[in-house]
Amino acid sequence: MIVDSCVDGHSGEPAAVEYLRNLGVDPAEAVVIVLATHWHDDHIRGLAEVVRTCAGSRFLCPSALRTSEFLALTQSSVLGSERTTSGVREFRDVLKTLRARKAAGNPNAGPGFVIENTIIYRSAHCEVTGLSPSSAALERAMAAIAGVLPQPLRPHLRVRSPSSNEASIALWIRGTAGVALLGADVERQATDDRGWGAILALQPAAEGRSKLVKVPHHGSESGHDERIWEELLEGEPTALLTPWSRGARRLPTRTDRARILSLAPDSVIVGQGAAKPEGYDRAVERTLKEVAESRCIAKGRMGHARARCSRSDSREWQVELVRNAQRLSAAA
Amino acid sequence: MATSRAPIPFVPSQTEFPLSRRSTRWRPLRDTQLFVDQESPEAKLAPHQYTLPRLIPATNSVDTSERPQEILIALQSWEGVVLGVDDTSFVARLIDVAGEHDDEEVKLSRDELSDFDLELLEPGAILYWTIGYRQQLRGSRERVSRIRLRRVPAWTERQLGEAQERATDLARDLDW
Repeated sequence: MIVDSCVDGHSGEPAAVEYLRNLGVDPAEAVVIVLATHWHDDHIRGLAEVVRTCAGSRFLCPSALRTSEFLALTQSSVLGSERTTSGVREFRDVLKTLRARKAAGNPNAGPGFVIENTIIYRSAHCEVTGLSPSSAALERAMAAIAGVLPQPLRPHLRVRSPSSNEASIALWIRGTAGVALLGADVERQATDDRGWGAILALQPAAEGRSKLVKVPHHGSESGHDERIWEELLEGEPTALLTPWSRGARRLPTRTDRARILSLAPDSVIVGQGAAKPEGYDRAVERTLKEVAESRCIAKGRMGHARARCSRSDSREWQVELVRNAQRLSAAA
Repeated sequence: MATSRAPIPFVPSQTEFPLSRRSTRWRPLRDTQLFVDQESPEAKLAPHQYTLPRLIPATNSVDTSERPQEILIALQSWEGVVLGVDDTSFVARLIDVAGEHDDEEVKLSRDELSDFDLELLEPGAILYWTIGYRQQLRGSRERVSRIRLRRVPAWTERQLGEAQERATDLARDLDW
């Protein structure tokens, strides 16, 4: 199962596909589900290539995208020729692949849509449940998506995804070899009918808490809900997180790092963070210093953290760090 | 021809300065006319491939015997998209046109844009940024940074209607 996608800046390959191939695993045979947690560029770059490569997989995405308007957006013939990536283009290409599969006689090629408390995969060894979005969150997410769709006489700009994370899909993975919570970009909301409040009401940890968590929303304060750590996770779990930046804004912040480390001292962060781009002509570098208020690499060499636990000791996760993955305590 | 903005230099094909002996990246600059952004995808096409309306000379007579007085040596070019805007600055994601450097995100002051481009500044806008030298053929050179926003047409009812029709077909095919 592949959840979300990012592209390695050097190979140009989706990182998950590259990882599996390096393990000697054929993604076309092995991957049964490709899931996009939500429509934000930092979660779906290379998604179309992942779906294309994983020929035997089912594609799942948030129910909030199940509108005729969003589908029409993906079918616009004037999306532009710019080099910049676009989430809309990724979805358009995903749908093109699914349509071809359907035309080739695969009756299950259509996309699946995830809402709260949906079992999206079950086998003898593992069960994966979608914990969100709740119906209240879904309603807001659909309204937010409607708000960014193109209108007649408005400039034909690159369409942005809504900034809210209401549609984001958190996952609860229960296997014979451990339990994991993948928090996606789910945030704490003002009311408990949405976000983490709604997820907690589902009591996903009734049969046992998780010792592994992908920290929600890049470790931000808005993604933090104390109850996650008290009710869903065991004490001092293995926590994995990915950074985010836009201009001078960075996640996790120094405060976020301190908070996460106090809850999970062995936390791991994966990603290039605020690394500065290098290798330009000296005159270019001088100009960049004069003109740009801040800069950081947006798509560089990808690293990864691999968390594994054995069936004999499902409470302990072993984490391996590759390339730019590191202990959060060292990065802070 | 009357225009509300400063002209961007363009040299019609019959007057292109033979620059390939020194560098294919040299582009002639002249005070003639232009309605195509030099960094736009259209500008990289051969003249017969232009999808925009053909360029119309600002004057009826173009002196082809005179060499351009200055050229732009482009050292680095990016294409980008504006991700966010505030009162004083904006953030953009940049892709190296030559594909030799990692994508990056930069925060730039609004002051880097002309008044005309400021009107186009909003999230989702496409920008072109070139850093290079403006070289006088018989004189000085200066380092220049030129950021321009792509001019875009408006969505039309027809475009959106056609997209909706295709979406209806797709929805049927995929059980959307």
